[in-house]
Formats: sequence, C-alpha cells, structure tokens
Amino acid sequence: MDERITKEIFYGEVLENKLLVGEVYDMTFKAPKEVQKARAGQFLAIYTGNPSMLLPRPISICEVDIVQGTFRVIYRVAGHGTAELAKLKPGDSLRVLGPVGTAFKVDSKHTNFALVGGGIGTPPMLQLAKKIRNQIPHAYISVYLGFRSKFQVILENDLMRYANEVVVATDDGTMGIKGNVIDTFPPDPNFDVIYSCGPSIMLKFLSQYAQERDIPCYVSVEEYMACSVGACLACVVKVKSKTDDDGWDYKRVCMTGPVFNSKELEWK
Amino acid sequence: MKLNINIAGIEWKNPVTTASGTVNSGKEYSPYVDFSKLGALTTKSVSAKPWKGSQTPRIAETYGGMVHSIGLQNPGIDEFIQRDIPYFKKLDTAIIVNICAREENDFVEVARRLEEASGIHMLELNLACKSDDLGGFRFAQNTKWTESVLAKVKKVTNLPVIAKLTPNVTDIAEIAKAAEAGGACALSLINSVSAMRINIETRKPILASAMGGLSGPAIKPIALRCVYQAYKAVNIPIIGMGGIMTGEDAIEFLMAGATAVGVGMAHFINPRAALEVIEDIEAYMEKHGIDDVVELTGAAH
Ligand SMILES: Cc1cc2nc3c(=O)[nH]c(=O)nc-3n(C[C@H](O)[C@H](O)[C@H](O)COP(=O)(O)OP(=O)(O)OC[C@H]3O[C@@H](n4cnc5c(N)ncnc54)[C@H](O)[C@@H]3O)c2cc1C
Ligand SMILES: Cc1cc2nc3c(=O)[nH]c(=O)nc-3n(C[C@H](O)[C@H](O)[C@H](O)COP(=O)(O)O)c2cc1C
Ligand code: FES
Repeated sequence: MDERITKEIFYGEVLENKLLVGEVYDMTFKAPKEVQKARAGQFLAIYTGNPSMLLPRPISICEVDIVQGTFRVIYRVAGHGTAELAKLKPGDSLRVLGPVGTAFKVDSKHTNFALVGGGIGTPPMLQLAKKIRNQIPHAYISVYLGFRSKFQVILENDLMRYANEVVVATDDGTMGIKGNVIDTFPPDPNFDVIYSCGPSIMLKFLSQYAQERDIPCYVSVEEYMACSVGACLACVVKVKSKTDDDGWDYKRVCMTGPVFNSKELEWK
Repeated sequence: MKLNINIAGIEWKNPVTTASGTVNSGKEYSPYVDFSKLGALTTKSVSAKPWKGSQTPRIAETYGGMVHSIGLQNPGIDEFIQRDIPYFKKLDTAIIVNICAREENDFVEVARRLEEASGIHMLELNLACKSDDLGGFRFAQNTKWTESVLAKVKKVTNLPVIAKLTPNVTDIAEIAKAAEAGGACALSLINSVSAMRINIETRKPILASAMGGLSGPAIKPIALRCVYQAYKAVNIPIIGMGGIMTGEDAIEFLMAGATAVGVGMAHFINPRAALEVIEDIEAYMEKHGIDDVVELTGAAH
C-alpha cells in the first residue's frame, strides 16, 4: 500500500450479537488492528451488507478491549439497516469504516466527572468512564442515566465497574427517580466537567444547565450521514461563529464532531 | 494498452474522474485513496460568495441510492483558492473545478477568478443550478440559457469549460447541442435526478428542503439513456456519470458514448471505488484485446 494511504475499510469478525433489552442489541466483533486507534467518543460507520442499503450506519464505540482486540457496540433496531445488523451471527464478517470523528477530551486536572447518558446515547459513556478511570485513578465518576422505563435500562452494571455511582431516572418511574436525568443531579453539584450523549432535547437542557453554572460540557450529537469522512457535507450542525455574518456556521458532525463543546453549538 | 485520453488538449492518464460534490476538494478522502491515480479530480461546486447550503436532514437513503439536498454548501471562491489550490499542487492529476451560481454573472466572476489562479486545468459549470432570474428553473433546462452562460464564461477564460447538465429536461439532446454551440469542450452527464422521500410516521418529507436529487446505482439506466441520446446529438466528448459503482458500469457508459466517466456516490460505499473502476476497465480491455480505451466510446451505437 502507498505510504500516504493510512486508512482503509476493514472487516470485523462478529463474536457475539445478542439482544440486550427491547430492540437493543449488544455486538462484539474482532478487529485487532483498528481497536488500537479507537478513542472514546469516536464512532464506526458500519455497512449493512444489504446491497439495497448502500450507506453505512454511524454507531458509537461503546467499549474497546485492546487485549482481546475487540469493539463492542450497542445499537437499537431503528429501521431496516440496523435490522440487518441484528441478523449477524458469530463468525459473520462486518464491513466497517473508522474509527472516525472526534473523541471526548479528558483533562487530568479534573477530579469530579459527570457522565450523562440518555437512552441509546448511553453506550459511548462506557468507554469514556473506562478512559477516565485509567487516566485518573482517583477520579470521582458519577453517571446519570435516563430511560423511558425500566425495560430500556442498559449498561448500568457495566458502568459500575468504572464509576463511583450510577444513578438512573425513568420517565415512568418504573426504576430509579421518576423524571428526566437532570432531576437526578445533586442540588449542589461539584462537577468539574459534564460529558453527555442522548436525545438532542436532553443535550440542549444539559447545555443550559452547564452554562448557567459555568461547568464545561461536552456533548456527542447525531446527524444523518453519507460519507462519514467529511467530504459530502451531509451531516452538518450549526455552530456559533464570530466571523460569520449570521453568527453561526455549519460544521461537519462526522469530522469536527460528533463530540462538541456544548457552548459552541447553536441550539435550535 | 492505452488508457489515457485527451479532452480539449488536457491529458488524462485514464478516463476516470470524481463526480462533483462527492469528494469535496479531495483532502478528506486522501488518507483512503490516492487521487493522483485518477485521470482527473473534479471538485465540489464553488460559488462567488460563501453558501451555507440547506437545513438538515440533507440526505435520505433509498433503494440503491440517496436523495440529497446539500444546497451546494461551499466556502466561496476566495477561501477555495486559499484553502485548496496548495493541495491541488501536490496532486499529479488534471484538476477540474466545478462552479455553481444563481446568476450568469456569478458563473463569469468565478471563472475569471479561476483563470487568474494557477494549478487548474479545466472548469465545469454546474448548469443544474436554479436561478431566480430564470423563474426558479435550472440553467440547463433551456437551450438559450445554456448557450448564453457558456458563451459568456468562454469570453473570460482560456481554460476548457465542461457543461454539466441536468437530466430533468424533456429533451437532453437539444440541451446538449446548445451547450456545444455555447462553446463547451465537453458535457458531464448527468447531475442527480429530481426526487423526494416521505417519513410516513411524521407525514412530512424527510429532507428539510423537501425535494432533492437522487444519486447512486438507482439512476444508472437514466444516465445511460441521457449519454446515449447526447452522443448522437453532439461531437464534443461526454463524461458519463450516475450510479457508477464498478468497471462494468463504467464500460456501459463508454459504450453509450462517454469518453470518460465520473464516480460519485460510490465513494461513500468504497473510498477506493474510482481506482477499482480503472483497474476493472484495464482488465476488461485486456480480456477483450482492446488496445485503446477510446475504441469503447459509442460502441453500443
Ligand atoms: C455519531 C453517531 C453515533 C450513533 N451511535 C449510535 C449507537 O451507538 N447506537 C444506536 O443505536 N444508534 C446510534 N446512532 C443512530 C444510528 O446511526 C441510527 O439509528 C441508524 O443509522 C438507523 O439506521 P436504520 O437503517 O436502522 O434506520 P433508517 O431510518 O431506515 O435509516 C435510513 C437512513 O437514515 C439514517 N438515520 C436514521 N436515523 C438516524 C439517526 N438517528 N442518526 C443518524 N442517521 C440516522 C441511516 O443512517 C440511514 O442512512 C448514532 C448516530 C450518529 C450520527
Ligand atoms: C452528496 C452529493 C453532493 C453533490 N454535490 C454536487 C455539486 O456540488 N455539484 C455538482 O455539479 N454535482 C453534485 N452532485 C452530483 C454528482 O456530481 C453526480 O452528478 C450525481 O450524483 C450522479 O453520480 P453518482 O450517482 O455516481 O453519484 C452531488 C452528488 C451527491 C451524492
Ligand atoms: S457524512 Fe459526509 S461530511 Fe459528514
């Protein structure tokens, strides 16, 4: 291969692909070379294998195991493409572009971390918790998770491996506190930083919450994608701009994101 | 075996380029593919002033393709020249800069700026652009508009000018003739096909702009038909595009009358798609004892 060519599509071998809850699947696949490059917050563009659905599906990295050489992803069957992924069996091969996108930056000066996951936005919080724990052994990691009901709750136990506490809220009160995830925050939080992934309405409120208290806040956002490498300009999000006449500009989620400083985003 | 071609005095080392808007100016895909191996690199449309493009969602997938309305987001010609020309100089391939505009004068203005810049080999006018001056129609939906804008651009540049046409017309042959009359050195056929998708849960169009263009393998037969008809109508070379995924697709286009081909959406499925198309064409020529790729052009007529 030409030395300037540093990236290529890869194939992963499915080791496990099991139903977790509801329509949510937990898949582990082997890709020893590519896991080395992966960082918390990045995502994979996964091809469905069905030739009528050509575009890859962006799925966050939930966990990487450098020793085993495996990626773990957790995805909800949201439509036809993810339904194809749900059919994969151990031994099947999976075509993937990535890892792509920006990572969650972790500042070693911080001690108190708040990780906030909303529904199917929870998976990237796991690799982030792992990263923080490795980088800052004395960190105090609080995880706040919001789901519709107890039947949707995922990764609570996995997160306990790295977090000091995991607090769950459900919309219907069937588990944990009834209400949204921000309701579960302590009245007088001492967070040095907040990280989050979840529905955009949740990210918006969280961003407001963080800004009012002057807490740095990083969020992972979603947009429909085609190329996943920054070339097609499909996946843009509005970002504040000092130089632009309208005060905002479009940035590519697949390249400048998916992780953004919430202060930069122009919330709808 | 001769793979190289010549369009209006510009040498391409093989008959394959990128379709505008699918690889931006090349940089983002450069870790995945060496564009110096292509006959030419065609860039994303650039306008006189920065354009922000459409609201999101900008894309909606469909069987064998995607409907898109990016809205020609681009940083404008000033930033384009600053940002991309140094990169083009590192590439060993013909550089085709695609221009978009909402009025004739802006096509002329951008062409003038590019004439002054260095390191560019050809211009391509995206005549699928809509214009308020034309009642919201596209330049290439009318023979007069097509001929007029090309003639005006030709006056300010010595670079060869390619006319990129829309399939959304009644008679592609008459538009092709008008482009030839206006001084186009070649035609790029086709731009995406006007289309839409609807979300049946929300009862709303999926795209924020409601309508967009369909690209990908789904449009290949339409594109082939356009190339076939245009080939009969004009004497200038045709760059065929629309759903090319493999060398077999590309050869169909050559046989329909194309001298070269553009690879677009295929990049999103396989960043090396254009290189594989070149390899496939070579293998086909070898297998069928073809010495010069131009022998394939128009073979189906
Ligand atoms: C950076 C990023 C990370 C993501 N991580 C996860 C994850 O870890 N787990 C998970 O379950 N989901 C995740 N998603 C959402 C996931 O990509 C979509 O649910 C999925 O693409 C739906 O595909 P489909 O074919 O099943 O649905 P369809 O609705 O049939 O898909 C049609 C098209 O729309 C696109 N699309 C549909 N919904 C979305 C969406 N919400 N975001 C982006 N594109 C969409 C698809 O990619 C496809 O091109 C992530 C999205 C992004 C942008
Ligand atoms: C995401 C996307 C963006 C595009 N942007 C442009 C553009 O800026 N200018 C242009 O002339 N054509 C643009 N096109 C059209 C392509 O250049 C091409 O004509 C069309 O997609 C058919 O080829 P394909 O099916 O191989 O993609 C775009 C196509 C896609 C898919
Ligand atoms: S998906 Fe193409 S630019 Fe982000």
